[in-house]
Amino acid sequence: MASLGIDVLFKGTNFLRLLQGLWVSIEISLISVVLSILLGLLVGVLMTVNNKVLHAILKVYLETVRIMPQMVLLFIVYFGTTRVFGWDMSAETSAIFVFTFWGTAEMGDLVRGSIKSIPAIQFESAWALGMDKVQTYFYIILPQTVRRLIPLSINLITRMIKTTSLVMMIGIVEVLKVAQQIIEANRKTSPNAAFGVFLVVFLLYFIVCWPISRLATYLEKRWA
Amino acid sequence: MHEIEIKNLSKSFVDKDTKVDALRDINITVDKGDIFGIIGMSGAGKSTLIRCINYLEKPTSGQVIVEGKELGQLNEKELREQRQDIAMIFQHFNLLQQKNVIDNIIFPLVLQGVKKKEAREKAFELLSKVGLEDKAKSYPSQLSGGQQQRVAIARALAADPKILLCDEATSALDPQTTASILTLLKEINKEYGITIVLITHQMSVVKAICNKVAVLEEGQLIESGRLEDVNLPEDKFFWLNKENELKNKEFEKAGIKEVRNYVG
Repeated sequence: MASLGIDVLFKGTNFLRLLQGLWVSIEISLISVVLSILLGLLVGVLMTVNNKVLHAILKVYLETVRIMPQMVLLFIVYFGTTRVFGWDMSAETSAIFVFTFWGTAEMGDLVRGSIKSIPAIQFESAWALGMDKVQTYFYIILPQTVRRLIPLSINLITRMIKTTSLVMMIGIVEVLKVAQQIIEANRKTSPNAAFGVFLVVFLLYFIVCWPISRLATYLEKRWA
Repeated sequence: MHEIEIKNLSKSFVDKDTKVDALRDINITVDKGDIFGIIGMSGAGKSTLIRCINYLEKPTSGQVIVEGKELGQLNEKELREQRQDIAMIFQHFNLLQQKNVIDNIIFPLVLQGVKKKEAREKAFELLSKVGLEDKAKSYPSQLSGGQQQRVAIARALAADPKILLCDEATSALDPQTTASILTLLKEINKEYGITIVLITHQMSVVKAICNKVAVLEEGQLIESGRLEDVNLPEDKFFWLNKENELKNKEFEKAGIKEVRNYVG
């Protein structure tokens, strides 16, 4: 069997570089995910508010995110704003901005759906037991919302982590870019490196995403 | 003084441009210790009416007077306090799934500032009253429908209410379980002197425990009074059959052949 080309990773500091690249991916996705969850909760609650203007604004926002490919958003924010507005945003800041912009919209919509799916009778029973509005939201509605939110938001979170691979298009050297660099640099000596190195990248993504997915399963079971 | 007095109550819902009159000019009085049954087809406005008694639903016009207080005059805090005197149980029990039986019962008490130890003592006393003292640590999902309704009854009684509202409390249960829940309600009524208002579409429920009854049809009260004075249809399935008849008429209009709901 031909060499899988994994050996290049053990040359020099290659593997360390790959891990550093992974850290860049994780850092960008972690910050974006945390911001998206917090802002998404807020946006989701706002989406359930009965206000036409607010409704219209949020609708346009959500549709924009749905329609625009993430890469186009990255290009607009990183390349576009520099020329037009003269903003000097670093690539990392742009990436975090775009991913949070995206995540907040989708998270918000998930939160909205989860709140709407709580039957009105849940509010009514709480009020009938003499609870006030704050107690009802805090003790009855939100815990049920969070439970419904877990499986939905895990999909979004892992999708966000995977999509950070796009940020190399605006010059950020993350795990996939490092992998490419390593493969290019060793094209002569190990022509098979593409297979082995990308396989390792796959495993690295797996190692990052799998615990999150396990955690979701655990929480779902515990709270069932 | 009547325990509950409903005066000229009307309720309409406005949905976009159409206005639906759910209740029209309802007058009902319920006295202390009554078991008052409200019976009618689905869509007759029973649920809306019982929800007006604890102001989950605000009437469009008219008054609801409970223990001499007009609910429409109360502010939100006073209304909440009044609601502790008006307990309610529901068709689908609405227990908190992630809390066990005992915690479900003490939860509202603790929120009202009752000490946990006191609340637990009270809860255990009520659990033995509803015959579930061995299920204190169980979760709702481990209980049958009848047992869950018993827990809901215990929870409703925890705040020492004067009135218990039952919103189709036995509609999701089989006939035997229904009978046992009704027996329990009657005991509670006797022992604690709690006034009970229940809505149902099952004539058997009314005949089994109510001393007064009101018949609701299309949002209007067509009869009310003591059970023996009110003309109730002989047919056990009167309302169910009537519902089917109406449904079939609608189906005919829509060009669908008869669809039968098999009964009993």
